[in-house]
Amino acid sequence: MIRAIQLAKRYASTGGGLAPLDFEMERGQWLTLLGPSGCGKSTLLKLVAGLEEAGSGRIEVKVPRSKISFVFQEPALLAWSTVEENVILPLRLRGMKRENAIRKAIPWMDKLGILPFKTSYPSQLSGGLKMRVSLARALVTDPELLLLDEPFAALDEPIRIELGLELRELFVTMKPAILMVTHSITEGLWLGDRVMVFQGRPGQVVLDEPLGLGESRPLSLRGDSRFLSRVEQCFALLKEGRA
Amino acid sequence: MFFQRLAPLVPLLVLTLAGEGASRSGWLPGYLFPSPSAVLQTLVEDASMYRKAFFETVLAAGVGLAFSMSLGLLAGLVLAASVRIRRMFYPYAIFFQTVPIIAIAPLLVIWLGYGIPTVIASAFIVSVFPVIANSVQGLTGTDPVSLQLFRMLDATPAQTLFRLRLPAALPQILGGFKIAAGLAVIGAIVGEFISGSGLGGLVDASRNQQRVDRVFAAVLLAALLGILFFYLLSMVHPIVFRHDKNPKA
Repeated sequence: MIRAIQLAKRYASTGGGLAPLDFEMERGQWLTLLGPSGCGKSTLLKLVAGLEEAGSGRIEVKVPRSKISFVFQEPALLAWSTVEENVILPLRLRGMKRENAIRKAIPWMDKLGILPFKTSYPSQLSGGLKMRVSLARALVTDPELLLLDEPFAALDEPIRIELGLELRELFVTMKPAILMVTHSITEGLWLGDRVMVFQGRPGQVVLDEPLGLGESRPLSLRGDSRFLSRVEQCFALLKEGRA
Repeated sequence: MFFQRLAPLVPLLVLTLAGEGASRSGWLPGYLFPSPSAVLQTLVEDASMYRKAFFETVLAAGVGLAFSMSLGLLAGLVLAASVRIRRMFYPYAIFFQTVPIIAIAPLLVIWLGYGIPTVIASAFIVSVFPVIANSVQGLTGTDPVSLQLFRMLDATPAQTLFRLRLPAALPQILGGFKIAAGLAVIGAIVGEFISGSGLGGLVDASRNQQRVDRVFAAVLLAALLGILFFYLLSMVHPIVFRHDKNPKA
């Protein structure tokens, strides 16, 4: 589904970016990207999305562009549009009739608990609800590839956990490919199936392996010894990278 | 709430009463500073003359403002379209801000004659720059993450403009319109000084006749006109920004 061959991107101004990287990813996999700021995690997401040009190497994404969704750290909602209008935006931009778009969006708004707020404006919503709208907008196109760039970074811990659980549940049902950038080791390992840890600027991959934590991810998993040893392993690598 | 709305009238009332007192007591000479009641009396006595002049100025300033808003926004859209275009033409847009209108008003009369076209042109020249500047600022200041989202969604340039950049720029554009509203009245009055019509023409004629009360009456109406334009545009605000006023859920 995604194949990167010696894919690299350097930012001369900051020294950051991505060192040559080879990786493959299949549908139905949740890949978590961990690493310090400037190591190229978000760059990798943008390269996959086609929002950035590769400096060298190449990337093959065998997913139609209309089936790729991006969730940014900020919800990036249109302040002048209602929740419903924000959710149907991708469908409307692709020419779908309003009534059909709404019909398609309603189950997603229902699943994410934002249906009661469909006529509200973003300024009337809490941070958690805004992120739910952003997620609904990303999911309404039935994506085969979901790119998440620190989607829960601005949220309180209980809302992060709640949204994480819901997203994992949706992932298990829909089986898209998910590429998620996060600074939270616990969250990234709890939700992901595979982890990639970056070190340095430009970022180099120092760990890329499946987590083997099973499909179901109850909150209690975060206290499991296997899970905690993974957290320790990633923490040690990130600490080593900072030294 | 009612008293908050009336708050701006308090200084006016105090100033009016002070002016009236100062004039009646002889502290201010009436031939230089007529009392507010004398100005009001002039307005009533010459009501038909002032009405005619007022509506001439309303028409000229209104049409000038309409040109400023439409052409200024259009220029803003063109200038915001690319950095290259902006570098080439923005300095010329600044011309409208720096040009001393009083100096070129005679030229306008030569080109357009002693009539309303000169006054409209004067109102337009004075008021167009804030519309251009604010439109450019608003249209080039779109949230980069939202722009990335639209790129991700393969939005066409027209979709990005009408669904994102233009609505996002509305606060600045409307701000430019409001500044232009006051300036259009100033531009119209200056144009009328030269062309001899409207409130500006009345001010000029009254000055020549040493009728300070008439000058004050015309100035009062011109100020009211500026406020009227400003408030008319402010009325659009709650409609355009209906998404901003509600409390959080």
